[in-house]
Amino acid sequence: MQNLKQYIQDEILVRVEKPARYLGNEWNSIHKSWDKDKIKMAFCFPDIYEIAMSHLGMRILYGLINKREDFIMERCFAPWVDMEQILREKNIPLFSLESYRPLQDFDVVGFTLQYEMSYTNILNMLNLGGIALEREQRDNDSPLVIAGGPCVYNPEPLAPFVDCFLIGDSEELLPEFLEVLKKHKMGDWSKEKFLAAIKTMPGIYVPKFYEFKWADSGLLQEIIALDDAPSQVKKLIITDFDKAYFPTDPIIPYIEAVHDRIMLEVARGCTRGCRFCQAGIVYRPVREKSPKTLYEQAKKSIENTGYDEISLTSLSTADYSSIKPVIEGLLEKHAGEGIGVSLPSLRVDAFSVEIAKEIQKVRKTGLTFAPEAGTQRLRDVINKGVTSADLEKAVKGAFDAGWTQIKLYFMIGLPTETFEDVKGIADLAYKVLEWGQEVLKNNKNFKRIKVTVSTSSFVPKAHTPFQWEPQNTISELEEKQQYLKSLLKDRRITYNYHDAKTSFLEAIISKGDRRIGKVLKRAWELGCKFDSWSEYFKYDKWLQAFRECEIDPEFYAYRRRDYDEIFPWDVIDVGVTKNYLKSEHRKALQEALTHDCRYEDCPGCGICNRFGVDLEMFRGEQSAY
Amino acid sequence: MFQKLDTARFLSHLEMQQMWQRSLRRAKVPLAMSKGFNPHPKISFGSALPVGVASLAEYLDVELRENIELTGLKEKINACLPIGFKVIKIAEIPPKSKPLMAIINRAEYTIEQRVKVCSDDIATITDKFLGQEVITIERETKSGTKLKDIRSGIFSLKAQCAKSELIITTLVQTGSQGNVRPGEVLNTFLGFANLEPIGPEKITRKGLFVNVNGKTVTPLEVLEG
Repeated sequence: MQNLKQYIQDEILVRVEKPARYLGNEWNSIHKSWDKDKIKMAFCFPDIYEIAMSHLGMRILYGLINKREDFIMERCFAPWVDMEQILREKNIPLFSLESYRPLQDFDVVGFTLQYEMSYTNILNMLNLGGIALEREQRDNDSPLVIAGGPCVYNPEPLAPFVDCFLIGDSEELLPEFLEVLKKHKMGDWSKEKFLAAIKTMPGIYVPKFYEFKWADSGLLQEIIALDDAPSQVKKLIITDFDKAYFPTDPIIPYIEAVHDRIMLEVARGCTRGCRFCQAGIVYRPVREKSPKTLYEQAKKSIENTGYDEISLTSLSTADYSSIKPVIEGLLEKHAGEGIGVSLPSLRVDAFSVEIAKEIQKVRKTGLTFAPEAGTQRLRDVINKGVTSADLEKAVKGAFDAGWTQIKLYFMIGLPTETFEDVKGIADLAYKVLEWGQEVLKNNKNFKRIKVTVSTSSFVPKAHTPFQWEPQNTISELEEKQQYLKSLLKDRRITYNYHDAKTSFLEAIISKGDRRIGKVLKRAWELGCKFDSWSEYFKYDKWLQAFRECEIDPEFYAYRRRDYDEIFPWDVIDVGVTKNYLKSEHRKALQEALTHDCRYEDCPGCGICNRFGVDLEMFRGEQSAY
Repeated sequence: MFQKLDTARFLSHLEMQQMWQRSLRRAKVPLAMSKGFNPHPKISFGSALPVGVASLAEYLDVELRENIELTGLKEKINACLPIGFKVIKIAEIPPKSKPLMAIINRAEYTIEQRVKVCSDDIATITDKFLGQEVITIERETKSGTKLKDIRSGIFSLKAQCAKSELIITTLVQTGSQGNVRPGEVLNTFLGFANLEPIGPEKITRKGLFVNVNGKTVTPLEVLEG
């Protein structure tokens, strides 16, 4: 593909914005020879370079798969619109970054499903790569199209396009999958035989072996597993997380990525049990890495990358058992070289502010808290174990330590929410101002106090206690946004909110089924892509797609489900039982809390006994509580 | 002094700055950090190169927090640089030296452009081109399109054209006193000579210089006195 590469670099890259997106020879990128007997996979991220290169999952799989001599993994991202236009004009197929080969030359084309609003980009990339969209249209020699990632726990909207889904931790699953594929490729290759063989592998969902029957009412009646496929596909998890592969030599992007730093994953899973949170359910159980492993990985990463910042990532890093000693240890070892440590998010409590103070000795950034809801009642509904007193301590501690700008994240449209709860958000924002004024009374920073309030709109997600709940309508959400805006008139308070129309589509797709696949395709045909980019989001085209496919979007987003309704995502077993989710839903409506099993008794979510696992934790001498 | 060739030419100035910080860290060069809320390494560059333009001679100053051995340093850094970047020469500079941006004021470029048909007498056209009192270009600024005369910023220009390949070599002004872009020189020349371009141009910066008292020398020569 030397010719294509030369042509693109000589003739095309001078004509596009940020050409360094398409070079593919960054530091730590891996270029292997294309031998016939190697299994070649393109890792596709359906968004642009800067977002794709922030993704930890890709760093892990790229390193892991390329460690194997008989496997090749290359990257392919959504080209920006200017590049796409040139590719289409000149009839150049979408190519991988490393070897500049068309997607259709790979054995496997794998997409990571990070957010629903990237799905049209998947179709666009397949099309640009010269691959037929529907799996039934692809022949024996077309690449296998696979998918994994957080949205894979409801795979059904993409079922018409994807040959098989990898459900669970891919660092375990993907090598096994490729291993079996290699064996099949060595013989007489039959895609059909291969799919039939892997349909019983743990963590593999092959949609062609499942038939979905709908009643006239539109409700799902039955999911039929064909040809001895398992009736439910259990997710696959790694148990010895501390020993699992972790990349310490990730590719250093040429263009600043959204997360452009060392990402050190301290734990996977979260036991907080916030009832709106899908990640909190699907990534169970909690598995932590030992401080020793973290120190080793940090040291190697610093040497191999040249980054000056380590972000300690996980769903809730402040919950990591040894967080304080680990931060102290990392700073002690590396602060002298100008290396800082950061956390992606903080818990709303004094302990988190303690940690933040520790970190900010090296570098100062803003401080963000996520109370999620404005009143205690609603915070109890969502099981966000945060009280106003926690927030007061955290915020006062932050002002006391020298921060003057506090960001607060909330959701609007949560189940049972009233205008009183929305007003509660404004009340909290004003309280934060007050607390700041109180702490910084005689301080020169008094005038610098600023509060930013951001609201996203609640999207009920599959596999959560709120999966039975309807979403607020667009007009309800917009009314609440405007109401809150009218309450936040102080010039020291800034208010940001998300577009309610995008949230509406997210709700439809995230609880969608195979029939939504048709709509995705039609929307793409009508020009929808980069839907998560507000300047490219074409709401009217989406509505047109629903109309033409004769599908009622409100049926998916606004309908309250019955407890005995069969869901399309019931075909996936995430470990937490549906009965547990039901009981959590009931408790939510009673405003009753469920405690964190990390500190108190097991509430019986089902993951540990049903999957034969346990929480893997490394408690330091200074635990969080 | 370093080269920025091959695909490295597609990195913007900002992207290249990031690249240098990380590469120098990987090479374990002890970078001096600025003080303040957001400490950053003290690295300064010569004049910024437009995206897509290659260069045989770029410069950067790096302040260190301690003295290090210069022998072998070039190789050590080169082993940590992405494709297309290469250190050619390293020299020690006195602590209070003026930053590069402040002293560099000349840049030499070669510009290669395929054209539909070459003119017969490119030498005469070049003489006439340089004989103009004023060469006006349009430049996009934040406040809209502005007209600018670049004639006084073009110090020399030679052009050849054979087999539909136009090659221009030109020495122009750069730096804080005014900046003539190679693309502007090319476009006005093509227009003046009535040449029709095919495909994108290829530009290479051959050198950055300092003009002191009518003498044009390299920044390293300034250092040597």
